[in-house]
Amino acid sequence: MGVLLCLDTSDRYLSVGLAKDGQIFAAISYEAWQKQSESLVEEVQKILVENHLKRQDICGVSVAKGPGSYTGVRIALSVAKTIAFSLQIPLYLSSSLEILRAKEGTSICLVNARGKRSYFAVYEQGKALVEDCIKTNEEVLFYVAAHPEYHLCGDVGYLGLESEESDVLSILAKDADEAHRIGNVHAARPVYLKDDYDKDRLRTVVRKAMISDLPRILEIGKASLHSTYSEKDLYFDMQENPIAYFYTALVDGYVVGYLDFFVTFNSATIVQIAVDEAYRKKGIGNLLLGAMIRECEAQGEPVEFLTLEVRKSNENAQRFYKKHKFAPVTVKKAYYDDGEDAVYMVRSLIHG
Amino acid sequence: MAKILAIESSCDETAVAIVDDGKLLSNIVATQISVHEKFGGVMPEIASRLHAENITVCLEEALTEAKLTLEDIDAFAVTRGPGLIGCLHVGLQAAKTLAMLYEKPLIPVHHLAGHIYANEYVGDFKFPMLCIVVSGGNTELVLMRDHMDFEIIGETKDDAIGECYDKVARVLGLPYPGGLPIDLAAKQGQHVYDLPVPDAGAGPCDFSYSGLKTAVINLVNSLRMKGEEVSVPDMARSFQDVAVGMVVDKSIRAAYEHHVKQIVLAGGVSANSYLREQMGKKLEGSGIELIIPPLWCTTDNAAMIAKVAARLYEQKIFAPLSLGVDPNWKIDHWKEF
Repeated sequence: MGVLLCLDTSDRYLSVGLAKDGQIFAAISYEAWQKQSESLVEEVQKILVENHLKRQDICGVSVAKGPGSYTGVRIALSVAKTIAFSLQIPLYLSSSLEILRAKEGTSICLVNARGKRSYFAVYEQGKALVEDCIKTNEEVLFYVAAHPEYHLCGDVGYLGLESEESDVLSILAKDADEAHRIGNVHAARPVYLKDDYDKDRLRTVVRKAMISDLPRILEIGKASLHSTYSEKDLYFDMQENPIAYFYTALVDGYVVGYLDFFVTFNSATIVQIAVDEAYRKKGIGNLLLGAMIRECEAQGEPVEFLTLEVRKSNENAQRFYKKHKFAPVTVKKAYYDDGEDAVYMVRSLIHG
Repeated sequence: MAKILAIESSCDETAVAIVDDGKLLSNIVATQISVHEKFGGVMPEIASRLHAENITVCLEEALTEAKLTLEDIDAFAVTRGPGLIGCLHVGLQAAKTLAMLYEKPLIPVHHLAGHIYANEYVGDFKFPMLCIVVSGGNTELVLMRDHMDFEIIGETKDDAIGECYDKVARVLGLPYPGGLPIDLAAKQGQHVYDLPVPDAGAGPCDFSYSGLKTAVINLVNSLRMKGEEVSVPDMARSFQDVAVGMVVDKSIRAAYEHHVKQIVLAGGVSANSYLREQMGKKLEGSGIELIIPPLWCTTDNAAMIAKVAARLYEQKIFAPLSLGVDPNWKIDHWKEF
């Protein structure tokens, strides 16, 4: 039976704990303001070694996701994400306020947000009576005075108040349940509350295509390009064709676009480029083209020109290519099987 | 032979690369440019947030492309500095965590050493060598008498050249990052605006860009107040002539003074076509070889970090798990961490 690793560096403290059956059996906790980046991983190693545990013994990670110190929250979360990803084990995220709560009754949970403000929430066991939010310290003091029956939790010296001792590690251990588990480890992100910037941004990467990408590539090609390429054609370009290069773009591991191009001596030709309609206008095409240019520059013999054909009616695509410094050179009559003309576009890669 | 996984997160690119005995097996970069475009510059807090989101995706893709698992990796390398502090923290945590879990060495790499060694993907180094390090955060001339032997012989006293490009681009209404748009606009323009060549005051190889930036801003504002139209191509050309001219002149002088065999360009601004062209012209018939990095190495990536890490692995230069970041790490102090 493995152990659960619990981590919190969301405020001034550094806390690392090991739990079995929901109970903490080893813990390290001390004030480490601005020393968390140096110390956290070392402390994790220390606690594992002291308890004669190897990485294979860790069966889950439970971590505070904020709100709190931006850097502090990111430190524990980056460590927790990396562990959960590496070992392919569950990752549990708890609010930094939620883990301050008292074992019983109703708790006002507070973290100093600085600038005369506080991160504030009210929890009754696992339930939030007031969700995590930001309040001015004045509002907080008013709320506290109005609710003398509630427990006051957190490091509240900055408000001139006294609080009860919190046991964040025990609560991180207790809360490591399905409700707190994040299915996709990559999607784990801190909660900042302040200045949330762009919630819908995608986590996109571009890499060389793999055979397992084929079903999605076929689907995207058919829908976006009316491509008649068969799985066999695509497989050939991906695996066997010596002049072909094939890249895929992924969002959280899901294939959303691809680029197939040929390099012949000093020029490279785009064979197909497509992005799933639901993911367009998000810069994915730019990333794919970037990968192509990178590949061209890594060739032994320098690639001097990028070329492509695009349907005359496809004005969006032509605009995209113009933005990327492709210039229309000529029109190829009845280039496509259905009789449509193609615009032939070229971009020079010669610098200077 | 050693397989090394390297992580780079010093500014606005989250990157992971894997090398095996010098051969690049994967090179993943999750760029944030589209996010920072909106702000006309890198916002440190936002960049740090994006790193925290991107890091495991990049790790996974780098391993997948290299067809390796973490158990196969012999050492984990990371950019320790210089860079934006919040950004550096994220890469550091990931690298330290992996080194701890898999009980493998942790290798701290200097970001600018990475940019310099990116040129090793193009050709072998010959010493003494002059490195022209020009980027959004740095402008310095570094003399190398041997591998991993760096002496800073000149540096900027205020802004970095790339930072200056970004600010000037913003004033001219050109997009971020400003390097390429100014470079392109300058090709269409003439040097008609009179801009002062800033005097760094200090050593003969030192630079100053703050004054040039202010001069452009003041000139543009005064022309607009007078109701005169500012020609963007002409202003871009006038600015670029001075900004790049300063780098070229000081570099050539330093190269002769130190009898170098080679000059290498490094950093984001080394993508600038005018800089590449001018350096090439000035060195014609000089017997000094010029190495220009491939364009993909002028932006931040982890392949260049892995290149340096492979060298440090041979020398067994490893860091303890208590390693911290250093946003102002000097290249000549790369062994101190």
